[in-house]
Amino acid sequence: MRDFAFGQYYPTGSVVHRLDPRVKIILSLFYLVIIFFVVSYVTYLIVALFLLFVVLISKIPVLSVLKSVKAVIFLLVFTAVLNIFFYKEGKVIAEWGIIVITAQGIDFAVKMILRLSLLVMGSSILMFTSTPTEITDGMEYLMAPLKFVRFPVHDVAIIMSIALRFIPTLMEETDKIIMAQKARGAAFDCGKFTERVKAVVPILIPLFASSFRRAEELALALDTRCYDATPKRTRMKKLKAGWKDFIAVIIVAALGTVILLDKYYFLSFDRMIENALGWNLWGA
Amino acid sequence: MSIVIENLSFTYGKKTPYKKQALKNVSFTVNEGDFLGIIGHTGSGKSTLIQHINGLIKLEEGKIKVFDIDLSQKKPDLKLLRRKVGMVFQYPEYQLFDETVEKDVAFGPKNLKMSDEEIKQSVKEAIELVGLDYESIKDKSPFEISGGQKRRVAIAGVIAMKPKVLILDEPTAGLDPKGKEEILELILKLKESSAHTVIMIGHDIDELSRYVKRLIVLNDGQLVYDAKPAKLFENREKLEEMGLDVPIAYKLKCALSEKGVKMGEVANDDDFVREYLKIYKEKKN
Amino acid sequence: MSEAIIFENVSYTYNDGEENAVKALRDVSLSVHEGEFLALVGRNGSGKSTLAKMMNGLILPDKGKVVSFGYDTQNKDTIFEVRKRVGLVFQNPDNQMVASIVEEDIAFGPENLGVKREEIIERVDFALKSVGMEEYRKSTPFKMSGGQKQRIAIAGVLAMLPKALVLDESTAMLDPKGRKEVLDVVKKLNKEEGITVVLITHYMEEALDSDRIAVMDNGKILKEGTPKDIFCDYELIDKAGLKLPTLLNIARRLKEEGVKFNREIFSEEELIEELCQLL
Repeated sequence: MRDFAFGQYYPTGSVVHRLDPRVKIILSLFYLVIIFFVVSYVTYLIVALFLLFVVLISKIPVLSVLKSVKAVIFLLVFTAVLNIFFYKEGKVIAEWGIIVITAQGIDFAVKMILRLSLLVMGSSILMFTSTPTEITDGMEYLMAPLKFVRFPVHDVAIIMSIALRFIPTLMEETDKIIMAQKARGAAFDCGKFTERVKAVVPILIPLFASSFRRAEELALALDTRCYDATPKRTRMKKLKAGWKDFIAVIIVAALGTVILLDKYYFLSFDRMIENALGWNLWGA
Repeated sequence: MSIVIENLSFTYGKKTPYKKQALKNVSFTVNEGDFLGIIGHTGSGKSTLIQHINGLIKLEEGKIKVFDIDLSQKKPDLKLLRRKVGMVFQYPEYQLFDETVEKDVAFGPKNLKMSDEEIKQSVKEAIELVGLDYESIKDKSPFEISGGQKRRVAIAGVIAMKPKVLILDEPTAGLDPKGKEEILELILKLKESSAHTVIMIGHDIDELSRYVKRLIVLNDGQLVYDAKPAKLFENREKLEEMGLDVPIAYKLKCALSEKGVKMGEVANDDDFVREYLKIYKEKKN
Repeated sequence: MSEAIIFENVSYTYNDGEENAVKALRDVSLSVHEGEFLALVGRNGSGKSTLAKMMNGLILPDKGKVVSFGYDTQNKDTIFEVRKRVGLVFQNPDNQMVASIVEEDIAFGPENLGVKREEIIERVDFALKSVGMEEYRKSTPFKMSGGQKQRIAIAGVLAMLPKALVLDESTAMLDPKGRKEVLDVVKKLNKEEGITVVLITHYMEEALDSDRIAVMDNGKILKEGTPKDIFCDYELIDKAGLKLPTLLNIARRLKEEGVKFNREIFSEEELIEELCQLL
């Protein structure tokens, strides 16, 4: 049995957890975009410090945030290798036959890794600090304008909510079925590929059967509770942004400003430092 | 001895904020021929315990030995273990999946790599043992037979593996009164004819005490009692504190004894009726 | 006494006209009185559940009619008037919840009815309090016990302020503790809020305290009466495939073994007293 089956939500009750989910979603989206404007190592350091700051005040373990990068590690390595070996311009550092490694190539690769890792860690903070329901609610509000083009926002929100609600139930059910079939001698973890595929049938069929059974009862329960009684459905929950949300917005806006200043006004802090110290790293 | 458990402990989700200790230092043995009941409220660790016996949960702390299979070893022979210990889960009919009843019941024996001849034979025997007519039901889909039949088919699927120990987790859950009685009678029959050692988890103390010869009580992951039913109920107050009831027959016996009517050991209604009649007839003569 | 739900010569067949047709109800007439606690018992497949689902129009009769609080359930225009007044709770609490947070789940009914925000909050408060789950308002039901989940399911229906509550084997999947929790809540709602209760159950003990019991078999009502009427009718109990509550069953067995009782036994005290006197 899995203990807490769904999502990475890590409850600590911190101020980050208590931010308005809409604000959190928008800020996360903003962060995802702005990170592509980072050009210098100095700003990467600033972003990393910013993330560390957020992680610390949200009281989630730093290690679990770092671990979220594990999911994309293959992608990281792959892009890094591509960049290092195939970027041909700039100052040559090493050369073996057709393989040429340039300073720019390494620079590019390192920045790519930084960018992707910070991206993943940043979005993982959203998942660590918001329940699936909060995210659904936030999305519903943010999608509200779509109502004017007759997009069924409410229905979609209810479908999402039900799906989220049933994922842990069905996962638990899957565990039970796997156990029951294991007790009947089924081996899921060994054998040839075809055998393993075949082994899935005794899990999938009972799982589907059970989902249908549940769906039937759920449909009755929805009817019983007057689903679709009136087009003027109301909502109990009202999201309200407070002062802490404004503070969050301002902090993130400040981060964005620093990143944009670096790129468009100072044209990279790194370059400024290099010039000041009289370094020539790029062989220009 | 069939099963020996020593100092078994287990914690779910060890390194998460949701961790929960499900078993604490549980020790007991099951002898061949035992009819053992396990009782305890939801979350007391009953399911975790029996899943350990079948190797469905990896042993973390303590020792388990089932016949000659030592589960504390690095790679215990799970296949052999599952052949010896048959497990009927709660609502076992929800695990049926094959096209026909016969194929479904054959799932276990096939996994155990029995010979075709052996499979055919044991499937037929199992279906008949659970009280179904082999010829008329074998080609039906397990999804179109009645609820009671489904449960029997699911039990047959375990019996067909010819286990020496049969573990049942709330085998009567959700059935109507007649259906319950039939399944319990079936378990009694299976104990006599097929698997000689039976472990049954239940909630209904009236029902359990009618059948089992020994009861284990779990509370918060700890084994608090291991006794024969009539003896166990002497701890009535402690049991009630744990949210567990004693059988009505036992309550009646206590009430009568307060009024000066002394009866012999009473664990269930059969005992009560028998003991009362003894006294009643003595008085009449 | 006015009537809450009236069945008039109701028949219903599943998969009518097909090969696998099953007659679920055969010409059933029954009245559920307003404010009463009615237990509906009978073996699996006797038609109890079909009857329950007709009470708020989830199933409509093939023949005859069902009138709930003055509304014919076959009238499509007033179906939500019926559903608002007659709430159903089903067997598996997991399958009745739509949201991952307790209060949001309970608010679902009133939200669907377009109730104002402030009132929804009041109703959620009331519903949670009625089932004794106030402190779980913001929790997720996933890790709760069966009894707690089922109480939340009841709260979800209560938030629509129904006049009748129908429990379709809602205690079947619970352990004794959970069953007691749910039953206590339902009894309290019946007594204190005057909510009409129809309880469908396989546990005869649960029917003992009801005002009235209706016994069903093979799509028909075999007998209606007080618990005493029903549980003293051994022939009926056997015919309907039921079992007496343990206590009454002990009395019955003693009688059948030749113990001559001087009076009818219906409670534990009565049985104890009688058994002492007989010696």
